[in-house]
Amino acid sequence: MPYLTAAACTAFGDLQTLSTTDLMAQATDDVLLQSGLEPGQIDGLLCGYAVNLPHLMPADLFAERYGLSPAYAHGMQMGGATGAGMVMLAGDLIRAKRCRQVLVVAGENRLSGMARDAAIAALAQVGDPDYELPHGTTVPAYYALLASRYMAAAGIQERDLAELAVLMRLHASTHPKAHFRETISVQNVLQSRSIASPLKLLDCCPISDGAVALLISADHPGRPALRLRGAGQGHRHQHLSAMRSAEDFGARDSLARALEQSRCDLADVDYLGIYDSFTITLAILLEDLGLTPRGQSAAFARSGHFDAQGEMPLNTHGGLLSFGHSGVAGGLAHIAECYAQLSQTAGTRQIPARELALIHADGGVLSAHVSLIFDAC
Amino acid sequence: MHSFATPLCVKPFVDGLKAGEIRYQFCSRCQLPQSLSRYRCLACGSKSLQWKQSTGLGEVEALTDIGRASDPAFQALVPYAIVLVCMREGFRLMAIQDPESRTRGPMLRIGDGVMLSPRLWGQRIGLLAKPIEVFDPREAPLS
Repeated sequence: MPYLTAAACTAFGDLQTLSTTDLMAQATDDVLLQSGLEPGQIDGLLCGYAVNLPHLMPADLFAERYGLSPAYAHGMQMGGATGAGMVMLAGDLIRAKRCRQVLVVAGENRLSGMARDAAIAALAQVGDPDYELPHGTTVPAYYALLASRYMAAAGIQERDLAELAVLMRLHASTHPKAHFRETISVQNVLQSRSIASPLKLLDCCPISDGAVALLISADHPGRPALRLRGAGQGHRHQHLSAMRSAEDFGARDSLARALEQSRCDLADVDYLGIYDSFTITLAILLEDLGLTPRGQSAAFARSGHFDAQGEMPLNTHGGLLSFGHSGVAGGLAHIAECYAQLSQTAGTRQIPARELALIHADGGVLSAHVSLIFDAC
Repeated sequence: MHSFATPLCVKPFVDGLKAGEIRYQFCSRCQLPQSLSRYRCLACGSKSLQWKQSTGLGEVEALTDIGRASDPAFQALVPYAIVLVCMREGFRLMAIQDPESRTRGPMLRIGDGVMLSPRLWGQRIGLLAKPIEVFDPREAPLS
């Protein structure tokens, strides 16, 4: 059984003096410190892509600079699902006895290292070059289109989406490494400037610098660790224009596969790390995964259900929306937070004991889905 | 602008737009009209995809008004509305709402009828969506 045995985040935000590999090295230093491993003991290395450092072989680049000689190493690209995808693969490499200590790392100085418009234009390329991009599309535009369709069908209002932004900011307000820590109100969200209607600035995650490293190991280390019980994926389309259904995006396929491997029920889950590139992403995923009835994610948020002290704590670090989004590392941060909370190593931010966590990430426009199930052990 | 060659399965669509036509693939085995262009049918996996010409008529399925464009070619057009249209033939296309109708009147709404036609946006050929004038009883004068 694979174990998540260490997890580290750099601060997220505007980290001007650090390059992409500097950030990755910083997070990796922390993971080695936590685990007591020497670099030579890392025998598997998975690295996330970086928009700001496109490279043919990012894992070899990082291995060389960091002095690693793994027996297995490569990069991965599944958009926002990359982090969870790398953890799933790391688990399978352990199960197959290919590796014993797999380092999963990603980082990027996406905020300070590139012009904002260049970052937005690079990300927009997830759209189809002949059918979509000629219409001046951006990633917020794809999600805004999705939002207009989904909100009309599910009866969701803009102020409902705002609740989710408010909650993420509340959670980030207690995390010293979060990009945005000043609490906001529903009014602040509604009054923020329009990016792509119905999405406003505070419905969108920021662009951040930052890195996250995780260690997936074959053995329980005799200190705080989580078991990776199971994982699953779902892929039903790549482009928004090709989505097969506006009610079923593939998240449920992914979840069902993860639950089957984990031999547990969704009802047993008591901690959530759900991808939240936009408020609408979070609303759709919560509802599509069956964590709330259709159209009810905001009502659940309002009632305190997803609070750090609530029944089902959600993204207790503040998610992409407020902890920050530095590309692949942004998705890994949900997993690092899950490690901290379930292993009860979150210090002053520690929430009441939790047993079973669901991590779910999507890449593209709800295109690539990965679900992970961890338990405390 | 992508510098690599247009995939063979997409070329008839792009060539169609240049010729003033909207073309789409249709599976001759299971009859499914295809959104975007494919090598095989999305539903049955058949390679027998035929190209047909669309009427250009459809219904707005989703829409957004863009308040911030990163592409300089579109910054002058802000605010512009992007629509996702369910075509009468059963496939889906993206388009920009006719800027004149966007400036003159309200944004389109989900369910509104539109007529799509090829249109150059900056350097690239895409689609323009014009609202179809239909009789709306709510707008009729009270007598």
